[in-house]
Amino acid sequence: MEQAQRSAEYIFQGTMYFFRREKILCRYQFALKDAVDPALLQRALDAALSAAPYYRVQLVQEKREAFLEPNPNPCLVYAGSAQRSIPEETNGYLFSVSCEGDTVYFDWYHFLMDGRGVSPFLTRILELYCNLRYGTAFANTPIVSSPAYDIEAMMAKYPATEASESTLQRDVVQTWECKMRRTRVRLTKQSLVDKAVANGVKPFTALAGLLCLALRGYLGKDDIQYSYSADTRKAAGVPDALYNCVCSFQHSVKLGDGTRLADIAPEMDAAVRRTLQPEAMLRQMAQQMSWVYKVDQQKAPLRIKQRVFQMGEYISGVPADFWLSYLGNPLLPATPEIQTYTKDFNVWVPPDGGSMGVEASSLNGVITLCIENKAEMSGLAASLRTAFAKEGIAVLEAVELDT
Amino acid sequence: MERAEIISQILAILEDVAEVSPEDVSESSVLMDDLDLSSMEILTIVADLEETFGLRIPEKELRNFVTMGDLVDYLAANAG
Repeated sequence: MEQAQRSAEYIFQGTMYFFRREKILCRYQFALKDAVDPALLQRALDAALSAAPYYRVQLVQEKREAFLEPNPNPCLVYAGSAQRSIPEETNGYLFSVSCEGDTVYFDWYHFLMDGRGVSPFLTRILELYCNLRYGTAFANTPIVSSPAYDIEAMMAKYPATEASESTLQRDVVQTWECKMRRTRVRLTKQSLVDKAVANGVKPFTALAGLLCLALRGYLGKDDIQYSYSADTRKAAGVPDALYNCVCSFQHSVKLGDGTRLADIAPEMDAAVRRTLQPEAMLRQMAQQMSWVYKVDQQKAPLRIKQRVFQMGEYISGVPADFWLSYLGNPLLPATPEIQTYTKDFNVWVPPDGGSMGVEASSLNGVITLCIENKAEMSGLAASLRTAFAKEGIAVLEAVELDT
Repeated sequence: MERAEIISQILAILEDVAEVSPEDVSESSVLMDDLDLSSMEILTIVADLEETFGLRIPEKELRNFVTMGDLVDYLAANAG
């Protein structure tokens, strides 16, 4: 491959994933109406990739430099549900498509894209598969990313504040780091919306509050710290960015024996709404990405950068009892037609910087919470079911998937 | 490990990471105020110390590293 085809344009947006302790591999899985035909899925993947060069790349790392360059290797649909090592077992691609029974698995390395950046591509693959399998007529228009945002301009506009001694000395949540186990909860979207409306808060806030109530008992603590990420594409002027483009916020809530959602939701909602203002998001994004930038600029071996980054996240207060990521509908565009071919959706993302990660998605009137939990105690599903039901949420399922 | 040896190693790392001259450092030097170290520099020094002494310093200990002496005390107690 000619070096001229290499590009570092989208490297910085994913650089933080070089600094994680473990490679962050995520999974979207769709259950379709019928058993998946692997040959048709392969044709759909090939066609989708032909119109989406952003994803047709491989990562090249030479000394301290990293590049993306076109990947000439075949991009294969794999059989089975096992998550493959990316890119070592995926012909260099930074994602992997596989299928088993009625389910399509889409795994990706968070380096190249975030959840929002994955959705157009995955939706397109499903659309093209439906064209082949069911005779639909979805178009295969090009999927193109917005240009990379200018981090240096952003840092100049929102200068980072230097950590002080008091920052270094504040208390930080000690996260659980036991073997990860999965829990899944499903609830009706309408019952959550009704609860949010009754409390005058956003559904996201209602969900975060419900999780705090459930985790008080499960984790055995009255102060629950939670983190969430916010999509900054529009605020940053890159609405079609396929790369990582988010910021994150942390809050805590104090709970007692008789605390109900109505007691905590208004204050939580006010905090959430403050953070979701475009200016607040950009300021936070600049602060967080400037830390990535500074670490990246260090003339030090990668292992030192990784360690510095981890400690920096710690002193910045990133560790939380749980992370909540509210994906919403994973289909983009979420046309009624494509939704008729999908039965179920799960999203699994390893928690990093939290005892557990909660990924919330919405499809066909059902909200699915996919939780990866590193705490050692049993009974998370039961705690969630009890807390949700107590607040009148219609819980359709609450199960431990790993024992 | 001898305290003098620990101090010598820290001084070398301080000079390498933040260009702080050994003669400007005493055990009572406050890392941020007296030595004018940034948080990035402190964390890089801690990461380098972990490599040098072959140990992992728990993040919760970071809050205790206010002076040069704090670093020396920790390593004297924990480095093999």
